[in-house]
Amino acid sequence: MGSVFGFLEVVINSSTSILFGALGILIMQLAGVMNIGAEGMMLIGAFSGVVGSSITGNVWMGALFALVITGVTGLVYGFCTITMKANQVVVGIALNIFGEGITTTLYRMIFGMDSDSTKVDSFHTVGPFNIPVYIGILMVILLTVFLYKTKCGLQIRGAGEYPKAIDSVGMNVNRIRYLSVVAGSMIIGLGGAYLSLGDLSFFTENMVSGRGYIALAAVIFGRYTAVGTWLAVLVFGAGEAMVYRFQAASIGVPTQMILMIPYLLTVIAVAAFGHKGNGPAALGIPWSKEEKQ
Amino acid sequence: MADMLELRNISKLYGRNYANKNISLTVKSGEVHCLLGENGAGKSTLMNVLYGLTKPDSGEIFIDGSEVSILSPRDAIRYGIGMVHQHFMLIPAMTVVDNIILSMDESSGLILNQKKIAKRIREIAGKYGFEVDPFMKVSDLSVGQQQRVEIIKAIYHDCRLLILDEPTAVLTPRETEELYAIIERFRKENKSVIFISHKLHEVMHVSDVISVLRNGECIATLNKEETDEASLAACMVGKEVSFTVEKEKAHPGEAVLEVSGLSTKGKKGNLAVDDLSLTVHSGEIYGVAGVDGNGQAELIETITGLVKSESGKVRILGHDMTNRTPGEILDQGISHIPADRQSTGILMHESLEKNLTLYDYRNPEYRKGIFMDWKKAKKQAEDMVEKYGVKTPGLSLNIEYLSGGNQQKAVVARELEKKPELLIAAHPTRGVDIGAIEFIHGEIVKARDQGCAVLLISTELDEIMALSDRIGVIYDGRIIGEMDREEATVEKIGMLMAGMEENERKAV
Repeated sequence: MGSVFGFLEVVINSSTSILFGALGILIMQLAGVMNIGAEGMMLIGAFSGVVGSSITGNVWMGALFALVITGVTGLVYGFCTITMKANQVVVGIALNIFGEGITTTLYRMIFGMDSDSTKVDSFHTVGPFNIPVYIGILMVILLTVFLYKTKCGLQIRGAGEYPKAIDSVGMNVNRIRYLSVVAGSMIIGLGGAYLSLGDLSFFTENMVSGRGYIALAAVIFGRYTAVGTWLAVLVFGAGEAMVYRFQAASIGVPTQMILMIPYLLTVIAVAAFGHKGNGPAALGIPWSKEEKQ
Repeated sequence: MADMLELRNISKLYGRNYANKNISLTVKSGEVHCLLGENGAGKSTLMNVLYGLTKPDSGEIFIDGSEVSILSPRDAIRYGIGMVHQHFMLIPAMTVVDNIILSMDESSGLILNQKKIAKRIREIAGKYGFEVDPFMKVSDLSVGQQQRVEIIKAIYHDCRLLILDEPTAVLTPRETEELYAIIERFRKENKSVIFISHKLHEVMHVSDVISVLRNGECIATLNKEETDEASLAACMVGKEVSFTVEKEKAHPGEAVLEVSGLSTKGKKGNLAVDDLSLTVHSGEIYGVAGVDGNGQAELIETITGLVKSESGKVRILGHDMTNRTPGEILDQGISHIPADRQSTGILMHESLEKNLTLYDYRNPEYRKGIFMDWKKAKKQAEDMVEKYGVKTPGLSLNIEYLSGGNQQKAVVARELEKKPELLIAAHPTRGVDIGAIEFIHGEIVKARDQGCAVLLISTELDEIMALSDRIGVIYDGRIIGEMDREEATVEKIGMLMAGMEENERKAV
């Protein structure tokens, strides 16, 4: 029995960063802006969290710093995709490459080339988990209420489904999208910060290692609802927890095969549920108020 | 008392063309005012100006005698103007209530009270004599129901002037009658309606006052009593038009399309096409009359290979084409003008040129080695635009920015220029103006005279009667009556369309 609880604990712990990432992506994509760049955003969040925490010596200031920096990143992402109407897949991939480059460079500049990672103040645990885990679960509930029971939530979903209808009653589609992108990016950044300031208390290069993509897969697998996304995230978290289990048990399967589990689950989930029709109808299509000839 | 609405000298330029040129008109309270005109005459532009979606270059708007500035739909709604667009402004993935909430200015409290608003929606619907389930998803509603949701949206904002942009284009005859009843109710409450249309008979039916627009100008404003359909038509196109299609007697050849015992399941799982048989010969137009939703869509989809049949056979030019792929079927020399042009007829986000030359990549004539001969394709597109009178500022413009009628002309041009053996035409003139209807009908007859077999599906009885050589009436998935054009009368077809078969009528 104890081992079951132990397993669940690992599942929830290892899935929290993905949960934040996925909820952030969910908000953005519901508003109609595709986000392939969550991986880069999470890395930036993880790094700036460590920087903030190491400067101030306070993990919450670190988290706040991560929120601000990823919020600015979101603003830039929004400028490229909403105002300049650049291809959202291309900008997203660029963001991933940029995120990896900038965090690696700055990390080496600030913390030096030592192989020893600098330890910083990290989140405290309350009961079995640390505080952000509870925030994540609370956010699933709040987001569900927000998206279905507030006018603002309806507007976000409307902007992603049929922006013309939103425009026809005099609301500003692009403003709604900007707000969603910035808010979503901040939540994604928090997911990154949880990685470096949660279980660990240091930054390593490329530490997000695919969680941004897994988060995107969770949104699709979860059929674009907050609760569905959470359940999907737990499935992926279970995959990651299994990795630890199998590695510890040394059952004679090559490590590489075991490490594949979370990614394999992602591929299967997206292949099975990624068909069009689930997502917002206007996803990835920039909005312009062009007039008929 | 001042007029409810007055538009004074509204002008709007697009490029070098006037979409609206010094248009003035007044609408009184309790008046149904029709805007009549061909596609591209400037009706929608004028209404978009009034509704704050388009900024005019000059002109003033007066409401109840005082000048107002309407910069966004928000302003329009505040002045009591509601608009039902031709393409509905509803979010399909959301419920009726959520759609209404989205259009509201105020919101009481942070958390929405959907039940309270649903109650108000039911009240409004009840008052206007129809029913709507506020918690249904819009995508699950019929087109007619969706339109009513749009009307409720307007009423919810206490609208005193309702703009209906071609409201009957998507409705079945029965739904049209129900819409007329709603309009009548508006008139009784001393509210005004602006009704945009290019259908003469409905204009004569619903309106009190008719303004005719042509090429962006208001040609005439007439009271209904002072005018009739013929003079309105003349006003609209600038020349007298005849509603009959000039054609020689048909010389049918061998069978091109043979459908026998065909059954296909519909979306709800029932048999939408039920043991249906018909034959179309080369050189004849076979018209399928019937009320929309009696299996026409499924019949076409099965013939063109878009859905699989349960049983029965489709033979084209003697080959068994049952349940083959659309590509294989099109290769038999088939053209298809689909009923819903926006979803299956055109690529909305592609240029007019790409849309016109969509099939050319399969044609060796348009190939240079392994590459497309774009010059030739462009030439072909230019010729089509010229021949079919597609109004556009350029070939490279995305087709989504053309008016509905011009999109339809582009589809017709592409399909007819393929020189098909069999043409399947569903509502070929839907949303197209009179001048263009005449032209499209002429082209279909020309194709017939060159030996093309034509399967015409239309809910407009006028169109069936004008074009067909033989007429079959579809009811509940079956052809329940078939006759030569000479034997057909409106009464006879009308009875069949209502589902009364030959023997039943004899019994009556």
